Order: sequence, then C-alpha cells, then structure tokens
Amino acid sequence: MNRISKLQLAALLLIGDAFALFCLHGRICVMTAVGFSAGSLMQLFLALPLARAYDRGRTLADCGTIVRLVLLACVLMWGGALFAMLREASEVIYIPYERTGIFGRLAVAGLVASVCVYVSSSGIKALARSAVIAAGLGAVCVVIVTVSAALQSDMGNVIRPAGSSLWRELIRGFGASGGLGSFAVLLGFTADDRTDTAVLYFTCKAVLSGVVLFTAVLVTGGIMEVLGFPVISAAQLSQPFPVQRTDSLFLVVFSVFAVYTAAVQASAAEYLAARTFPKLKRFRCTLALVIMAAAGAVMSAPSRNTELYAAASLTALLIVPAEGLLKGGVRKRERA
Amino acid sequence: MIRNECENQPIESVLRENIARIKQLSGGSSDVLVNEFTTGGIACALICCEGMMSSQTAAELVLGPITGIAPQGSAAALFHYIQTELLLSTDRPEAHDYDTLFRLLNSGFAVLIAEGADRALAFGVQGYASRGIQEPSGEGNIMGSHEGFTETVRTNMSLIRRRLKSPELVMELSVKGERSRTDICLCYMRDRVPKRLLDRIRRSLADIRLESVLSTGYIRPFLEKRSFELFSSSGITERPDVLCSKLIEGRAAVLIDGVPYAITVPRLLCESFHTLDDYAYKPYYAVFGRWLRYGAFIIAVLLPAVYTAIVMHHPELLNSTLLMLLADAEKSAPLPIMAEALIVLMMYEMIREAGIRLPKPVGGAVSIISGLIVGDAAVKSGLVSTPLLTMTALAVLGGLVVPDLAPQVTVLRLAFLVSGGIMGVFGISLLACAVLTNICATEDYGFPFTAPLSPFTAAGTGDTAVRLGMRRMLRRGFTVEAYHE
Repeated sequence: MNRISKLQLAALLLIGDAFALFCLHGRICVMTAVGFSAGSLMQLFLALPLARAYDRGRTLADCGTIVRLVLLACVLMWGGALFAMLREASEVIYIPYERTGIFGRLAVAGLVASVCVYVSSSGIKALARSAVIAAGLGAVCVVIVTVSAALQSDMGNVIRPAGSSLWRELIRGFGASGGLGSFAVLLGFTADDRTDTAVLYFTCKAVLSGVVLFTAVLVTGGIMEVLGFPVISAAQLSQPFPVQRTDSLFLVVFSVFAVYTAAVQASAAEYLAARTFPKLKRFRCTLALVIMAAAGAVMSAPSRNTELYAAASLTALLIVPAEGLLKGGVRKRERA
Repeated sequence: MIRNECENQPIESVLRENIARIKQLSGGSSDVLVNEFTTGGIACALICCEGMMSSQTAAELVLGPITGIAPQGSAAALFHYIQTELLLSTDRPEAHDYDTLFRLLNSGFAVLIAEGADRALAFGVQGYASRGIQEPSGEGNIMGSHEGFTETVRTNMSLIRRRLKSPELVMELSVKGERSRTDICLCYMRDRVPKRLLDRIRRSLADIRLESVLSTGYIRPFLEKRSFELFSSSGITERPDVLCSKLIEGRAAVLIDGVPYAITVPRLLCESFHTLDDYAYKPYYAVFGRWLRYGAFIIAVLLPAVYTAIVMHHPELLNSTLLMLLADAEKSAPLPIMAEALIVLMMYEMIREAGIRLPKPVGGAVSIISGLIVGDAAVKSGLVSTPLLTMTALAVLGGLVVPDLAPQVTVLRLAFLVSGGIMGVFGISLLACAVLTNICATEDYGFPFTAPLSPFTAAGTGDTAVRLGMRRMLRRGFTVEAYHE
C-alpha cells in the first residue's frame, strides 16, 4: 500500500476545505468564522476514535460492505457538490466559454474532469506530493490576498447580524466539511501516527477557516447583503496595488484547488470501489469522476442543503468506529 | 535476442583451422590482419585489427620480445612462458571462444594463437585515433575545470580517477550491444552509493537487449520507468568534475564507449538548476544565481502563455496604461495573439534547429538573417507586435538559462500557450495541475524527482533553496539516500 505523510494528507484535505470556503454561498459574519473554527475542533474530537481505530491496525478492508458503501456515497456526493460549487462559482469568476450555454459548461466540466482523471490516476503518492506543492503555492497566494484584504478591511464590519447563532454556523461548518469522507479513507494511508495526523489537519483547518472567513467579513461586511460568494468577492475587492488588479492570482488558486479537490475525492472513491466491487477492475477513477460530474450537474451546492451535507460529514467520521463498537459488542455478547 | 555467429564456439587447437575460422567469421574483412610466424619452435599467428591498435606499441612491446623466445616444448609451455616471463602489456586477457576473441580484437587488442593451443592470448596495445580532451561544449563553467569527457571510455575513466583517487571508487566494465559490443562502465563510490540502488541499476543494465549502443539515449530508457514522464529521471553530464560531485553524493554513473557524456542516476529536478560555479562563488551570489535560474525557468515556460491569456481573456487585469499600450500595438497586427505567439515561437524553434544542424560558419549567418532581417521585418511590417516579440524573446532567453531542461521547456511553453490562449488563466492552471502531477509522479529507484521540495526534506534545502557555506555543507555529510522514500 502506498503510504503518505501526515503533512501530505493535511495538504490534500486542506485544499478541499479551502475550495469549499471559496465557494461558500450566502451571508457570513464573525460568528461564521467562530462556528467554522469551533466546528473543526469539534470534528477533531469526533475523528479521534477513527484515528485510534486505524492506529490499532483496523483498515477499511476489515469494515463491512455497508460501511464502505456509505463512505463511497459520501465521497461521491461531496465530489458532485464540488462540481456544483464550481458551476455556481463561475457566476462570479470568469472562466472562458463557461457562459456560452450548455456546451460551454459541459466542456469546462469535461476539461476539469479529464485533468482530474489524469491527476488521480497517477497514484496517491504523486497526488500527495503535488498537493503539497499546490497547497504551498496556494498558501502563498491566500496570504497575499488575505494581507491585501486586511489592508482594505474595516473593523466596523465586525457586527453580529440578527438571526445568526453559533449552533447554526456550526452546522454550516459541518456542511462545508464534505471532505471528511475522503479523510476517513485517506487517514488509513498515512505512515505517521493517525492521531497526530488528525490533530495537525483539524488544527490547520480551524486556523484556515478562521483567517479566511474573518478577513472576508472585514472586507465585505458592509455589502454582504448583495453578495453571493463573500470569500470570492473579498478576494476581488482586495487589491494590493492601486493600479493593478490581482484577481488572476485567485483564479489560479481557485482552479488548481478545484482540480485537486475533485482528484482527492476520485482517489478515495477508487480505493473504496476497488474493495467494494472487486470485479470492477478498470476505469474506476474515470467512472467515479463521471458520476461526480453528472451529480454536479443536477445537485445544488452544499450551502443550500447544509443539514444534509452536515449529516453526511458526521456519518463519514463516525461510521467506522461505530461499526467497530457494534462488532465488539456483538462479539462480547456471543462470548457471554 | 540477436545471436552472434561465433557465440560459444570454442577456439580450436589446430592453427590452420583457427585462422580459416577467423577469416570466415570476419567475412574476409580487409582490416583483420593475420601475421603468421614461428616462435619457441611453435607455429603462431598474431591477429590484429588495423587502425584499432598502435603499430609502434605492438612492434615494440609484443612483436619484438615475442619473436625471440627460445624453443618451448608445447603451445601450453609457450603461453606459460609468455605470461610469466614476459611483461608484454599490462592488460593481458585470455580468450577461450571466438566471441571473446573478436571482442578483444575489435577493441584494439593484438591476439596470439598457436598450434596446439585451444585458447588465445590478447595484449592491450590499443591505439586508435580519438578526439583529445577538450572543453565541454554544452555545460559552460567559469571557475571550474575546462576538461570534458571524450568518446573513449577508458580516457573518461581516467578523468574520473584523476579527481577521485579513493579506493572506494569502483568502475565495473561490461559489454552491451549484440552487434556494437560497446564497453559500458558503471561507476560508483562503494561507501556512498545505496546498495539497493546499485543492485537495481545492475539489474536494469543486465536487462538491456540491444543491437547497438550508439548514444546515451539507447541506455537511458532502460534506467528509467516505462510510464510517461515529461522529465528524465536520469541525468547527463559531459563534465568529469560534475560527475565526481554526484558520485560523492552517492549517485551511480554509467559511461559508454563512443559517447562523451555520462549518465547519472538518480537525478532530481533541483539538479538542473545547479552549476559547478555555485560552489566557486560566495554563497549569497550562488543563492542569487539559483533563484535567477528558478525564475528564468518559470518565465521560459509561462510568460508567453500568461501574456496571451491576459490579453485575450483577462484584459481587466492590466492597468490602464499597459492596456492602452498593448491595445495600440495589437491593433495593427493582422493575426490573433495566440496565432502570432505560436508563429513567433515556431520561428524561433526553426532558427534554433537550423543553427544546430548547419555547419558552424553558416549557423552564424542563419542567426544574423533570422534575428536582424526576419525579426525586424516582421515587426516593421506589422505582422508581429513588438510587445509579443519582447515577451517571446524573454521567454526564449529564460529557457537558455536552464539548458538542461531545454526539451521540456520548448514543449511545455507551446502547450501552455495553447491552453492559455483557449481557456485563459483557467486553462493554464488546469495544465499546470497535470504537469505538476506528472513531475511528482516521476520517481525511479525510490527517489522522488521533486525531492527535497516534495516530499520535503529539511536537510536537502541547504543545497537547493539556498547554498550553505562549504564548511556547513561538509558537516552535513549528505548523500542522496536522504531523499529515498
């Protein structure tokens, strides 16, 4: 089995989380930043049983078919959501030919999917190595955009709008964490201690969510009511140079992250499909991406179905240890 | 597998039959000379290949002493006497079959056969004409040695040995190519090279089944993975000093007779940005030079594509002054910017190819014609805009800074240009993902091509992102095994 390091796993998954943040739809406030960050730390505690199960030598191959099927469904659903997010975000990000009707949209989705097929078919090691470089470049770009956004920020925007609550934002945070399905799969690939890996990943996720969302609130707080995608708008509004726009930097990060996010889901789906449907020997990755792209065409972005995606994320995180507990209980009862 | 006519055929003990067989196997080739004579009371023949040996050395060291031997009882006694009493040459292998006999003969040895002997004695008296040691043509260097490899493998071995006098330096000679019978030399530092790497290289070399080995390109595919890789995971150098530095770092090298280049394994992407001069200058200047090369590589690959993408799809990214300037320049150009850029780049590639293939005096003329006349005329006639030409020239210049990656730069530049022209920055990003993944998937013998960047190895950054001072570098005791995954 190909092994990856905890840094590589964190990079793979953080790219997906950053992409979900970029595509976050609807109004955000400081409570959103707090809710997302707190949600990440809560996810860490919920992920610890999974990490301990893996550390004790349990693998997905030991799990029942139903568990693998549920995880596969979670992974494919989030993959479809990514394509839906890409489609919806193209309203505010200029992608050539995206707005030239159904052919243009199909061509763009097909192009992204074909690059994803290549990226994910190169193997988890190559994907993980390249994800570290992509995440590094992305981090540099996000820092530039965040710093320039911070310079444009207005502390007066830090208000708590009526109707916002920590609980609601926590659920929203869970809804935007669809990558937990692939986390449950890929955690088994890490060569390092899984608990340490989970701590590293969720801590970075909490910091990333907090920084990106808080900066977006500072920049776009005043005009939040009229914005569809606050994080993208914040990046577009925050220009570090008075006479030069830097949106292209964000577009590069956005496209690269889109590809890697979908490729991670495809790799996880391929791994699960290989163990669930052993007769399916070829084109597993391509098939997964076709399903995701097709699902993306009919699905809506997670921001519009928060509860459903939050439930899927929680299920992905808990199903493996829950099955282990259940099996352990049955065994104890049988022995008794 | 191709089989030689003479393979596994033992040498006969009857001299007449042996001579007849040699003439038959060589097809009566004019350059195979058979000199029959009697020495020590035994009928003998000295066979040699004309032009492959030094006549003077053969006459002085072999023919002179060998013809004056006192009578011996048998061929075996004669051979024993020659081997124990006469030091005719330092390299004195024996041949028991025709295959070995011809290999030695065609390598410049003088071969002695005798009546009643079922083996042949060979004397190393090679003296074929070869190019002398000259300055390398491709790997420019200011402060280092000016010696480059030549076409003779033994000369190249001596160039390495002169620089690494350690007994740990091992050179293993073998023969590859069913027809060419080319000498291949595997070099490594016994105490530095990872054992697994060495075993796997040996296995890869053993798997080679070729008719001939005429350049490094014949051997490299066998040392690399079969999957599609944009970048080669084996390196090439024509400098003995560079090769020695790689051997000291625990890499292995393969020298090929007839080729003035050495293959090094494993190779990492960061090596393409290193020069020997980096270690001659002060670290701060070396770091500056390295980052200049990293930047030049990015410019060489991406500048025309980014320019085309921005002008065609994202003009809002340009500031107003630049936008007006470019709009004014492009207004008069009759072709779309992507077509314009493609034409200019293809024109450059043609000029470059012509410059390489043509004789040197004509090559200079081609440069003048293309640079002054075609380029100037294209701009003046309005066929190509000046900003585009400037961008293309900068990109080409950037590519020349990293000559090691020239083939990749050329192809990637065109691919990025097309993707940027069609899909803008989005297209460039998608292609970048695919290229990045391909680079990261390149891995041979367990050494990731992108190390020490990804997987990140802190110890490796001391000679990649920066260049530490020589004392600190030596204290690290670095070998390439640190990158093994």
